[in-house]
Amino acid sequence: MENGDVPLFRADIEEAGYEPGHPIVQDVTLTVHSGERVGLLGPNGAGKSTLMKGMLGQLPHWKGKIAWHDEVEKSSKGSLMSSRIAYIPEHPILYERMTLWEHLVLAAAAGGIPEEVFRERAEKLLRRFRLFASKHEYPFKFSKGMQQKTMLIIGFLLQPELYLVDEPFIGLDPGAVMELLDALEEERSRGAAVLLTTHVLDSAERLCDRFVLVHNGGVAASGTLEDIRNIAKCGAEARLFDCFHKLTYLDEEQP
Amino acid sequence: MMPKSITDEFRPNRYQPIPMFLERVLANWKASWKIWRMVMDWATWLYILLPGLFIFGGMYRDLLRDPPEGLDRSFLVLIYISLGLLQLIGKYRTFAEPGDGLFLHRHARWNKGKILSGFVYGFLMRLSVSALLVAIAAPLLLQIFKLTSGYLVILILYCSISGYAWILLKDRLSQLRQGWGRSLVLICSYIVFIIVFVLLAEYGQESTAVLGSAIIPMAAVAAWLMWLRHRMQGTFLHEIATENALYAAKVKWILKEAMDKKPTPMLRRPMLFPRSQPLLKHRDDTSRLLDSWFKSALRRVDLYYPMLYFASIGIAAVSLPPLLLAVLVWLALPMLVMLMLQRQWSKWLTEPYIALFNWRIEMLEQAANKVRVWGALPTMILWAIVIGVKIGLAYGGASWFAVAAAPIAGYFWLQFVNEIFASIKVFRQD
Repeated sequence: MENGDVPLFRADIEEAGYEPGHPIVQDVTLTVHSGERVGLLGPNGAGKSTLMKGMLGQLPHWKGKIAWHDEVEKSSKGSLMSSRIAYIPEHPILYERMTLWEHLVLAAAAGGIPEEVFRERAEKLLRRFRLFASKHEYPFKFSKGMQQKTMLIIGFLLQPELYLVDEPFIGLDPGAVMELLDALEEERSRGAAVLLTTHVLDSAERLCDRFVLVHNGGVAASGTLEDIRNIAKCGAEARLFDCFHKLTYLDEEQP
Repeated sequence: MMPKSITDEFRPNRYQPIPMFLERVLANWKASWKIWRMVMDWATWLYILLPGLFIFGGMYRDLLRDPPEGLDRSFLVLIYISLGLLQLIGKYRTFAEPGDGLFLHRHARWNKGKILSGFVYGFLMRLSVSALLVAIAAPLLLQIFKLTSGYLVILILYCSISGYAWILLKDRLSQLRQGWGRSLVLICSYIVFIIVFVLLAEYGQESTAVLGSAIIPMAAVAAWLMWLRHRMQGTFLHEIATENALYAAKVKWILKEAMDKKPTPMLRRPMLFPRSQPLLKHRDDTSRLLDSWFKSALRRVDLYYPMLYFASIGIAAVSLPPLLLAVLVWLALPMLVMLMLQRQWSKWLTEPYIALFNWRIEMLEQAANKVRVWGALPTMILWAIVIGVKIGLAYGGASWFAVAAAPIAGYFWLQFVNEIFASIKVFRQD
């Protein structure tokens, strides 16, 4: 069986939001396979980040089922939060009083990574994302881009089965974006799946195998680029950007 | 019928530097008043402030009517120090707001108006606070110390101008230096300012002309600093930081019970373990987690200060009472220390970065046990040594052996108390 044929998890979300009676996301079904890279796209306020937070069990109001494919019997509702995932949030989450190296040590402790493996992976990633020289500094004092790289390094260090990545390209310089794309490609070949939200459609088009377009809290379109072109009634050469524009902006009535 | 359209406000004159500065000053004082009103409700006035004013007024009146024999001119130094300290807390303000960076900050006219308005405001504030304090002290200064009203007028001017020169100097030093260098320079400047201020004020009692003539070079220094400040470029972020710091200082003591203020690091690298060296050997994942906790705790003043205070109070609690009571206190104190440590540990686990990971319950339980025992051990040993010394002093001879034995007994007692903690469900991680 190929990587992309093995279902990893399935989420059936009836509704999710921050207040009861005011769902941000409704009736969304999402399946991600091993080794697959799925782009969760949508305009500002469409509900992408809410959907991701819902899958992590971080939302106060949530109805639906979510389960790892191999654990479906024992957990039909809940979240994906486990040592099987790495969540890379849009806004870096860091601890003020730990150096970059100590952040990695703590992540390795949580992930149960043996010391030799940890050292090898950490040093490789630090060099890859050009943060080796800053490893004994507080990431809290880093620039936004360096903090984002820190979060990526932590995510890649864990080598999970699934990456949940929220707006990974924001704040990264072009070199770091290239390294990120390469690292994700390597992780795909290892069998890891990636679910990412982004507004950078060019990179998403290059990176993702499949797209889920969220609009007004629901799924407006999903599938491969070709499927999206068909749904949006765009030509065979149309870019994801054009399809996105057509599906989200042109069908909206102006006030 | 169509509803009458509402015309959006268009008042471009509002955005002239001086009217806008005045608007912001007014808003600032309104906000300050609101904050004070939160604290000073009718009950505070009735039970604390009015009785306080009444008592203070009565004491002041008694002091004027019947001054104590020892009240001589050396007391004036205290008044001068108070006046000097009052100048130290001042800051040069421009009431800049982050939004100014979008448009207003680009216009030289706006910047000039803002800076000049800040000069006027700064001087008027110095003049007001100095005059207020001198006015309160005036009956004492005139009646008891027989100073002249002319001297008081000169004193007000001296305070205002020296205070004004000081706030401009502080503003400049804050912008020219960073980190520890800035703190060091500012502390040295505080000390020099207070010494010079008090000496000149004291010397001026004998000769008003001396104090009056001291004002001239201070005014010249202030004018020179104003000129430098006016020419200085790239001060916008500093102005925003000043305003933010003043606002935080204004509200933090009111909100201190409602929210914890977590200090953030000033330096890029930690001073303790600067190369991320482990404090504990990384034998397993639990020891890695513990290592992170202990190093974080040692780097965070807000976490270990309460422990230092408690250790000091504990030393007093075991050294002052009779031996038997001291031993009982010594045995009871670790429970409080462990409660404090448990609270800090639990709170640390909810830090967003730590909570990002899915921690294994057995790992958290093992770590919590060690946090309580190892965290409490230094204070327990310290108190044990005090107990040992007490025993040695009370019985002499071989009983001095207690200085070595008590810490060992303390360790086992800690383990025992910790087992009780671990068996209580609320302290478990499940």
